[in-house]
Amino acid sequence: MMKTLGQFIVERRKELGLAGREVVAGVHNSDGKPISIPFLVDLEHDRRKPSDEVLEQLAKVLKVDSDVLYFLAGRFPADLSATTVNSAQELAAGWKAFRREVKRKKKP
Amino acid sequence: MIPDRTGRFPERPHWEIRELEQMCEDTITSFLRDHFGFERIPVPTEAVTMLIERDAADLDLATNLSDDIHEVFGFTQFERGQKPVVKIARELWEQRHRNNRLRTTLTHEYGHYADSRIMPRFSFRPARLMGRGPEMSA
Repeated sequence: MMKTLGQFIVERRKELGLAGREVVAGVHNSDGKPISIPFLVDLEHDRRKPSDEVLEQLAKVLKVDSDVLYFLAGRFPADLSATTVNSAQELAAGWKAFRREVKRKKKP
Repeated sequence: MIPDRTGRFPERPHWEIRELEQMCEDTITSFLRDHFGFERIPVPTEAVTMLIERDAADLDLATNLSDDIHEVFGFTQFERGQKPVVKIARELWEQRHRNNRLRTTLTHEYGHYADSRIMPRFSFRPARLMGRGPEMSA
């Protein structure tokens, strides 16, 4: 069972043995400053949503595929936005493939 | 064990300051060795947060803990059969000049956890202090 984005972040951080300060040092806002510890704690408790920029950096620090974080955040990665999908059929086919893969993995 | 003059307990455990210091030192140094492989002095603030995260169910921020009369920077909430939840005032994280206060609050709250681990070893009958529901230590 997948967790919420916040639960996933905190679990992964602990798996890697990282303190909050070590994570925020590697994640910067658009102004170039590191995100704050309170912001990270809010993310870990699902009280705030990260921007794409923050999410991509978090994925690097936590050594996970950013697609996982996008999925848990309930968003599409930037390269899969509405402007990059050519047609409704293409989108539907993509989802069908995704469902098929999930179903296949569930089989014993 | 010594007699308790507050009337809350028939008697209570008592430690000398040097004994408490030794217990604290043992706790932090063993954590530092396990986690970093050596003892880092001064103890980094993040090591204290990681120690709390290891033993508590959650380390979270809290807002508006203080009022006009009381300044409260942290509390630890206990529920029977569960790990405690530690909350630290958001302003301590946000205001860099209060780092020392943050460190003492973190260690103070960890002390509540440490107490909760030690006390069950003693057989004494505590009175109910906080009424029903979860008990908190500020």
